[in-house]
Order: sequence, then C-alpha cells, then structure tokens
Amino acid sequence: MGTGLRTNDSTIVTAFHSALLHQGLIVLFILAVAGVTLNALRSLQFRRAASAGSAPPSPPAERPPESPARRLLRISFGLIWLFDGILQGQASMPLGLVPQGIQPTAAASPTWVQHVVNAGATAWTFHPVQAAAASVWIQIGIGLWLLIVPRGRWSRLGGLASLGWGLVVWVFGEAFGGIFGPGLTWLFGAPGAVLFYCAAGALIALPERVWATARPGRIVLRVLGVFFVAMAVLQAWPGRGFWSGHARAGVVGTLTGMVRAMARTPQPRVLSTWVGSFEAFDAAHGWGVNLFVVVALAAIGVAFLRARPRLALFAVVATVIVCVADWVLVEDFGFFGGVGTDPNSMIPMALVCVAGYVALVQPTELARAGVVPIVRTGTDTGSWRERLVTNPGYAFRFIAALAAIGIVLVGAVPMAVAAASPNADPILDTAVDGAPNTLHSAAPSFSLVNQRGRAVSLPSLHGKTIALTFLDPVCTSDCPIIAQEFRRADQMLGGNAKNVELVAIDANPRFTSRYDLVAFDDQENLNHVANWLYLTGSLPELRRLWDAYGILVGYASGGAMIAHSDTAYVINAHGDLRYVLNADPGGATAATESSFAAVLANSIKSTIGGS
Amino acid sequence: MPSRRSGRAIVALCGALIVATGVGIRSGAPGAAGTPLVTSIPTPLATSIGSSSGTWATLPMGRTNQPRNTFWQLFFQPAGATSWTDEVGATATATNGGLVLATAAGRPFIAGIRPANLLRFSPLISTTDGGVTWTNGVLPRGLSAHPDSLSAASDGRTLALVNSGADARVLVSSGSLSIWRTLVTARSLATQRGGRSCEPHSVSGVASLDGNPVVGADCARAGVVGIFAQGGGGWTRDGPTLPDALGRGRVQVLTMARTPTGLSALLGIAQGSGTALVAAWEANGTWTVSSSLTLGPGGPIVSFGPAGGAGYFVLSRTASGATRLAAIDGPDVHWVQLPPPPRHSATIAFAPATASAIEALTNTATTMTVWSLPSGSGNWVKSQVLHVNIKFGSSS
Repeated sequence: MGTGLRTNDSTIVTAFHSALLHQGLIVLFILAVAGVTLNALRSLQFRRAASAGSAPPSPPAERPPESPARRLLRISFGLIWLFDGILQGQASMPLGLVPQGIQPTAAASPTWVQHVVNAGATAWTFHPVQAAAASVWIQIGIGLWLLIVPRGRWSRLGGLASLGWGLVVWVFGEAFGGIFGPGLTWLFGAPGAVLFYCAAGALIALPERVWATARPGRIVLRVLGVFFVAMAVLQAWPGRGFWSGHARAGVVGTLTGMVRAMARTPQPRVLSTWVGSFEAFDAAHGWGVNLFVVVALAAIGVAFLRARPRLALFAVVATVIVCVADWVLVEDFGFFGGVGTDPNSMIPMALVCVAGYVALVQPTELARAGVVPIVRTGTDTGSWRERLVTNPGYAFRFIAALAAIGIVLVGAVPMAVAAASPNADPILDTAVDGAPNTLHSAAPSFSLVNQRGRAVSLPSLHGKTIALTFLDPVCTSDCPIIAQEFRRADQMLGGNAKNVELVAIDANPRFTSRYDLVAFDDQENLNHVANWLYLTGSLPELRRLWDAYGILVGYASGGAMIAHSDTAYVINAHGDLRYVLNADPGGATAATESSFAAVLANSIKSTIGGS
Repeated sequence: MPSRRSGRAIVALCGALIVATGVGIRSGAPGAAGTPLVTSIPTPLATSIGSSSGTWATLPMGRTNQPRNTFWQLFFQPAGATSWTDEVGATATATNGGLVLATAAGRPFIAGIRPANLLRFSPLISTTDGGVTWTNGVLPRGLSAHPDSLSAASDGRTLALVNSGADARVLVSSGSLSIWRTLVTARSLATQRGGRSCEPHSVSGVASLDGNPVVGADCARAGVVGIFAQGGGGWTRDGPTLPDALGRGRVQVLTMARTPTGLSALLGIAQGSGTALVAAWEANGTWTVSSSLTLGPGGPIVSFGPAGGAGYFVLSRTASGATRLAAIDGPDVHWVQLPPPPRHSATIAFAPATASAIEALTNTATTMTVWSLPSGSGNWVKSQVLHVNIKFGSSS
C-alpha cells in the first residue's frame, strides 16, 4: 500500500494546495451566499412585520436554554473537528497519511482488520489529493456545523454527521483505534480518539428533551466506568511489558519504548524535554508507574459505575488530571511529527467525562432553579417555509446548516466522484514520470516478427492507434510492470481498444528469439490479449530501432539486468508520433501503476480523437 | 429499574469487548498448528564444474544478506590458463536468483538463470568455445534451487528440473534450448516401479547416463535412496542400499554425475541435528557406498561439487564459522580432510587447468579472491584478486 513517492513530493503538494485554494474559494462563495440569503430573509421578516404593523420577529423568549452538557459537547467537539480539519491541511497528508499514519496501526492488527483498512487506504492512495482535501473540508464543515447551529433538528443532524464521519475515520483511518491489535492500552489512546468524537456526535444527535433528565449522564458515566475498569484490567495484565521500565537483557519496557519514540518526534525542545524526563522516570520506576495507572483507572472506573454526583465529581477531576498528564507525557500532544491528524484521545475522553458529569447533575440544578423542560413554541411549529420567514432563529439555523453541509460537500463530492473510478489519479504518474510530451513527427518505421512468428510492420498497422514500448523479455523488475500497465490501459479504453494495438519491441540484445517473447507473454498472461504484439527481429534491426526511438540499451556489469530506457510512445493511425511518456514505474505500487495506465489510456484516447 | 438492566447490558457488552481484546493480545503468539517440519539439507548453488574448454564456477557476491543486492557471478578459467574472468555479463539478465551450471563431454556449457523478483521463468545461455560466443534458450518455468537442476546428456538432450516440492517437473529438450516437453513429475514418480518404497515428495536433481535420464528424488521413507532411471518405457528406482547405521534418516540426493564406469551420487542423510554425507558409485549395476562424512550441528554446507574424475568435494562451515573442506576421490578410498580453506570461501575448483592445484574462491562484497593449494602443500596461497563492478539497487 502507498504510492512509493516521497511524502513531500512537490507535484502532489502543489496540487493539494491548489485544490485547497480552489475549494476554499468555493467555501467563501457558499458563506457569502449564506450571508446574503440570511440578510434577505431578515429583510423579508422585517417587511412582513412592518406590513402587519407588529414588531420585528425575534427568537421566542420562552425557549429554555440548551442543556449545558450538550452545549459543552457541541462546542468543544466542534472546535476539535475544526482543529483536525486544519491539521489535515498539512502538506505531507496526501502521501504521508497512509504509510506513516494508517499502515503502522493496521499492521499490528489481525488480517481481517488489515483487509478492511486497506480498502480505505487504497481509495486514499489512488486519489491522495482529493482524499486529503476532502478530509479538510468535511472536518471543517462538521466543526462549523456543530459550532454555529446550536438547536433543533439541524443541530442534531450535525451530531449525526459527526458520528458518521467519525466512524469512517475510526475504521479506515485508525484501524478501529487499534483495539484488535496486541498492544491495546489506555495510555496510548485506546480505543481511539475518534470513537469519542462518535460518542459525542451520538449524544448531540439525541432529542433535546432527553437532556432534561439525569439519565443520559448516568449512562455515559457508567459506560465510561466499564471502559476504565476494563482498561485497568488490561493495564494490570502480566506479560505485556508495562510492569517494568527496563525489561531483562536491556529490552525497554512497553511504556518506556512508546515514550521514547514520542520524544524523538519533531517538536519544540521544551516538550521533548518533558517527555524525555518522563521516559527516564518510567525506565527507573516502571512498576510503580504502572501500579499508579492501574489503581487510578480502576478507581475512576468504579466511581463512574456508581454514578453518584459527589463521587463522580472526584472521578471527573481525577480523569481530567490523568488525561492531561497522559496527553502531555505519553501521547506528546498527539499532533506533532508531520501526519498527526488529531490531538489524540485524552482530551476528547476528558470532555466526554465532564459532559457526562454535567448531564448527571445539571437537570437537578435546573429544576431547582425552576427552568422548565423544552416544549415546542408557536414559532417552532408550522411548515419549514413558514418558519423560515417568521422565526429568525430557525432561519439562522437552517441557513447555517445548509452552509455547513455545503462546505462538507465541497470536499466530499470530488472525492466521491474520484473514488467511483477504479483508476488512480493521473497526477501520481505525473509526480513519478512527469507529464506526457506531445510529438508531431513520423514514427520510425519497423519490420519485425511478432511472438507468433508473423511479420508485422508499421505500415501494416496503419489505421490503428499504437501504444509502443520497448521491453526486455527476461527483465526482473520494470518490464513486467510496464506490460501490466499497458494491459490495464487497454482495459480502460473499453470500446476504443479495438482501434488500438499494444506493441512492445524486444529490448534485450541477447534474448531476441520469439520463444523468449512467448515465455514473457506466458508469465504476464498476455497470451489472451487480442491486440498485444511483442515484436523481435535481427539484432541490427533492433539496434536501428532502439536508436531511432531513443532507447538506450546496454549490458550491465556484475550480474545486473540489461539496462534500457523505460519509454512509451503513442502513434496515431497515420503512423505519426503523438505522445512520448516516461514509463519508469517508480515505486511500482498499485496506485502508480494504475495512474500510469490512466495517463497512457488518456493519451491514446486523445490520439484517437485527434487522428 | 430499566437503568439497572441497561447497566448490565453495558457490562456484558464491555465484557465481550475485553474478551475480544484478549484475543487481540494473543494474536501475536505463534500458532501451534501447521504442517510438520521437514528438515532438509541445504543444497547451495555455489559450485564449479569442468568442461573441455576450462573450469566454470558460480558464487554469490554483493550484499549477500539482501536478496536483491545479491548477484551471482559466473567465473571462468580457460583450460591452460591460471586466472579467472567474470563472464556473468553473458547472462544478459539479473542473476539475483542464482545460476545453475551444466556440461558434459562433447556438449556445450550451459548456465541457467534462476527466477528472481518479477521473473518467473529461467533464461538459459550456452557456449561451446569457452564464452567467446553464446547462444541462448529459455525454460518456460523457473529452475529449481538445486545445483543439479540442469543436465546436459551425451546424446544431445538437455534435462531441466523446474518448480519445487510436489510440483517439481523434469523437462527435456532435444535440441533447441527453447523447446521443452515434460518428461516426468514428482507426483508421477511415486507411481513408478520402486516409487512406493520411496514415496518421493520432491525431485532434487537430474542427470543422464548413456543417454538415459536419471532423476534424484527426496524420499519420505527413511533410509531409501531416491534415484530413478528411465528405461524400458518407464522409470525404475535404482540406487544404493545404505548401511544400517545410516538407514534411519531421510536421504537426499544432493548431486549426481556420470563417471567413466557409470553413475555416482552424493547423498545427504539427516541425523538428529547433524548431517552425514556419503558418496556412492555405480558400476555395471552394482553400487558401492563410501564411508560417511559427518557434519556437526550448526555447520552448513557451503558448496559441493565434482572433485577430479569421479570424486566429490564438500565445503562446509563449522559452528564457529571456520571453513572445512573434505574430498573423496572414488569408491575405494575414504573422505580426506584438506587444509581448511580461507574464511569466506564460497566454492572450490578441483581439476582446474593447472591440474596440480586446488583453488578456493572467496567472496567478500565486490571482491573475489582466488587461493591455491599447491599439491602436497598445507597452506593456501592467494593467487588472484578480482573486483566485480556490482550495480547495487539495479534489481529494486
């Protein structure tokens, strides 16, 4: 998996920034339209009120305030989604996220998890620019949605969007938070930061009347209680390397090793000093540190399971303290090092705990203060069109939600369109090989024999568009890949393939027999490709063609294969050269191979269209 | 009390989660299931053979701990010359998978290139004039990783062993090295005469005797030597009967050769943690078995091959890393321990052009050094240093 390109490849980074810029302009346009629409609606409301001789409409005064717990979740997770969206804009995201972020997590998980994660990773590596840009706008859109749409169905829909996208990120981006991997521990962020985003989204999506009782708070705290107890059991489990800082024979303890790795992440010096100090402390007192963690997690879990306000308060305070400590000293803030996409799990976890506590105690206090549960008011009823022109609050929520959905779609639609194609983005090949160059000259003629021993010449192929390359039949690396790329390009041509001949000319000065070509075709399963021609001839004729097409062929020393240029040409139906492509497979990943095939297919289609 | 009920459900759910994560914790543990481990004696490809035009040798060079940066070389010492040259350029392809050498009296020298990386069949090159001119051929499948995967028969046919294990297949070519047909497979050998007493699970080499193909097989039955000869419309198991002391281990046919009187074979018998090697010679249908050469545990075989007219050499490494060289000349003598060759010796060239010397070829990265053991001497003398220009990374 991956693209084989450097994460800071300038072609991809430039394209990513360009995509963000263009999509950012569309986002600005959406915001402008939303502002104008809102203003127009407000004017309409004023005109209607003036014509009716009444005061301008205002939000209904009798509506009770939003539940504090819900507001806490909505605003805090809205800010976190915004922050995550900004982190997704890092230049290394398109090419770096899969190999540096997703794959290492998935690699430690069972095979079925890797299969699931690979499906998402493939979509990302085939379309890295669209995927990275989509993540930026989807997360910024959800963040704004949660922040600026406080009430009603549109706000709850924002919670559902947070839940849905969070699940996508948790499964494909975090490999289920690594919960099926062998090193699961609360200290390293189990069960994954985004699962808390999902939890928060689900809570925000609940009907607002639910928040009028202490029940959601009690459930949240009890679920967290079970989670903390389970994490304490795991933490105490022997043989997992947490009970010692330094294991025997100089092997570093699990926590020490993790902290050491984090300390080496690029970051401000002061932070690495803190983390390094904790690493030394844990190396010296690993048993004590783990005992503290086990006891703390177990105590917090038991307190949450009781779900009593006084006990829960202590547990929440303890949770916030240990979460912040872990966030700073173990997770190292989570977002340094290039492909950090979120601040890791401790802050979201602490926020859900606090919200659960607030939800537990706040309804009682509101009841004491005489605040009534939420009820529908006059301006909250009627059709949505009516409410739009009569209720300013509804109009704002409606327009703001539409704007947020628009921002999400700015990222999601191009990605969805790209993902619908089984072929990788051509820009990957551009990054590897550069763009195809156009040519306008007659193709050097040839007269050779094909793999079946039949004579084939350039004039005999007139009327067909030709994709031409030079392959060594006993090549051990590039040539089989290029042959498969040609075959894939042929499949991409669909109905156009009947007007195309895929032609390879032997590029090995010793293995020039047609039997060599047959062995290669058999190996690459090209025998059944109807328009595949692998040509050979006398060595002088082959040398003339190599020179004419600019193919450098030479013996290499020391047991290396024959060195030759990886080049492809597209020749039109009249025998004229139209395109020359660098066919070097580069890292030869599935993504770059598909991308080259797409570029070749596009060049062939363009030639067919221009013939 | 719905809250209590839901609380129990949550506890049950989380319990299941813990169990699931427990499974995850153990997922890294090695599994106990699997096929029984079949210990096999390694059959290194590094070797040397003599031909009428000179001596050929192959050995790995480069970064030999990295498969794609290991390049097998093809060295040649013309008859009458005292120095070696590297002829690997004649392969015209990457040699990461290794080379297999074959020749016979009156037949060209043939080198087969084993598959590597994305190449899954085996190109062949051959010469009759000591590498001045080369022709080529191609096997439709990959040569097996045995030094006896190719054999040039005196009647003009060439035998090749392709694939491995139960899928092993012997191909034969009657002239062109590009046109092959299947002669026998590992599976079909089991049904031939004597096949049941051997239960062959793989084919380990090919040879020919007076134009008749001979196949070496690894028998599943302990103490049984799997040498099958074609004749009379089928295959018949032939081979020596091993002494009782060696009859308890599984026997591998490491290499076979035609001798002036018939066929000879070098056999490996797994014995606990060590290996016993015996040579066997056939003359007029009667086999003679040599004394055994015992290699201790941890001492891998580095190279073996022909030594002189009818003998074999075995170059091995002790557990401490020292090299050990033993040779046997024929049926009537015992194994002889020769002075230990220099460290990094990769193969030995017997019967070189300067018939009075045995030469050890050592490999260190890009340097091949030749050491000679003059007749009657106890010391190896450096006689040539040859630098090979290896293109690291060219197969990546």
